[in-house]
Amino acid sequence: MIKLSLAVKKIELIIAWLFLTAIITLAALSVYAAFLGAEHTRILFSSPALQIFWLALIALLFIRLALFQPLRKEPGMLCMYLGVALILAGGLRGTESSLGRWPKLQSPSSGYLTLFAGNVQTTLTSGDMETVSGELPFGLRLESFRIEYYPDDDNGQTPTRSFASEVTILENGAAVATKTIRVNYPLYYKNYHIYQHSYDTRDHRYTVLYVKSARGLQLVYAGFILLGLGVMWWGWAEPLKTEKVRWN
Amino acid sequence: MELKITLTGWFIYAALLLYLAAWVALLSGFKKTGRVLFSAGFFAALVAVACRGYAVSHFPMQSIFEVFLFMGMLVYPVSLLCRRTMLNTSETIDPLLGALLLIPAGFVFSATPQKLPPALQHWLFGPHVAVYLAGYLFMFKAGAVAIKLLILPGGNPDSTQRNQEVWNLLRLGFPLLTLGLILGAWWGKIAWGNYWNWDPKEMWALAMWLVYAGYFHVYTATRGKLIRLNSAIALLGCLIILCTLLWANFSRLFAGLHTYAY
Repeated sequence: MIKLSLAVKKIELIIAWLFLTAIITLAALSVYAAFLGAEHTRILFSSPALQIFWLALIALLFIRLALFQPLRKEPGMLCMYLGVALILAGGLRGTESSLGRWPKLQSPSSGYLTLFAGNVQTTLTSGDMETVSGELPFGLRLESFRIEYYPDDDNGQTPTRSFASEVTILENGAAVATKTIRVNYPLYYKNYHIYQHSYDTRDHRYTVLYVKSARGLQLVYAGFILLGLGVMWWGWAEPLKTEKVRWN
Repeated sequence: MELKITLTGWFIYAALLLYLAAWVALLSGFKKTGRVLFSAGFFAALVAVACRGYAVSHFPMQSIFEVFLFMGMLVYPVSLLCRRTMLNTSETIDPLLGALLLIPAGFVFSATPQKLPPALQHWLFGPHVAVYLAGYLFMFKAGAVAIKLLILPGGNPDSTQRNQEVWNLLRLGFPLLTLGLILGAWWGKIAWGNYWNWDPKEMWALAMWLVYAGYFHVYTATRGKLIRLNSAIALLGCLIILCTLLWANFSRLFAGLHTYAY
């Protein structure tokens, strides 16, 4: 019996160290990645090696929760651990990678649509705007593109105030709805979010929309909520309750 | 060096002087006078923030000047909250921290007003930045105590209590950093299409969050006994905050989605 509890203690210790090592590795990797720029970082962090790291991290979070009883008994801690695990799982589910992708899902995960006025488009391209990355299950037609500028400032510059595209959603050629998409106000249709990304800065002849599948998003949002509630419980509610921190 | 001969500027300088006076008073043991001067400094800083907000017609948290001014104003509420909720917390350093934040706002950073680009026109702009700035202040306060701990000779009877204070401050501030990340991710999804964009500033912010997460794990695993190691991690956190706040925005090395704030 004593031997067994000693063994459990040893495993607990190993897991604790593994966990800390994972945190340190990830922190060091994040600093390194800050120097790489977003595009290279995205490739690095979705590489097979890192995908395995994410999966291992999710497993480690659950093993830690399973082994350390005190963690499970603190609601704040429990929520934080589960929240981080959900965010990682949702993130993996949303990426293009082979490891995170369910074999059944063949619909594109993201891409850009370049639309000229009156033009119907279903083909998504990658960041270079040329390589085809997939086909949307519905079509989009650009009705109009609007751009507004701030009035002249003292330096004679007129920064952009807003830009928006009015688009019609088409199903088998038939119009379903007409909506306006602008920055911070995306359109949601059939599990896809469609964003106002950029436009033809010279002649305003076309608009560029960014399309992103909502796959894995619910997991991530559930993770955000759990992590947010958990951290507030642990950092604010718990200390007040146990009188380590007191309102006086 | 840029002197600000505007209403905002005058209130910044007034707040700065009041903060410095408050610090001297608190150092000299005049607790009541120090607190009164500190609160007067806060009101001056609050007026400066309001003037700035009125002048630029948006939340004054876009440029680095506005960010430092806002933090200089937040120092007092954060200090008051710590004083009210924590046992044995030191407040002497707080007005000095406020002054140190207002000096670059008053003399270094440019106050040229900037229009809000479309991506920043969203209600999450205020909360996302404000929780981060408040979080940084808790972390800076903890960092100041950590410096004292590193200077103190080993075995000082004060050490354990101060070590606990660093833990308490970080524990109060950590939820703010976490909420900053979450609100930013949520907003990133709405504005750019992705909740995480691998942007250099995001990577610095993640590293910061992980360093503090690491602090809590090391502290718990060692039951807070490795005081110097704990303090060093708390200081490393402050260093990464500075990288996230300043370096990530000023250096072309880190150009990315967050570069409209400089």
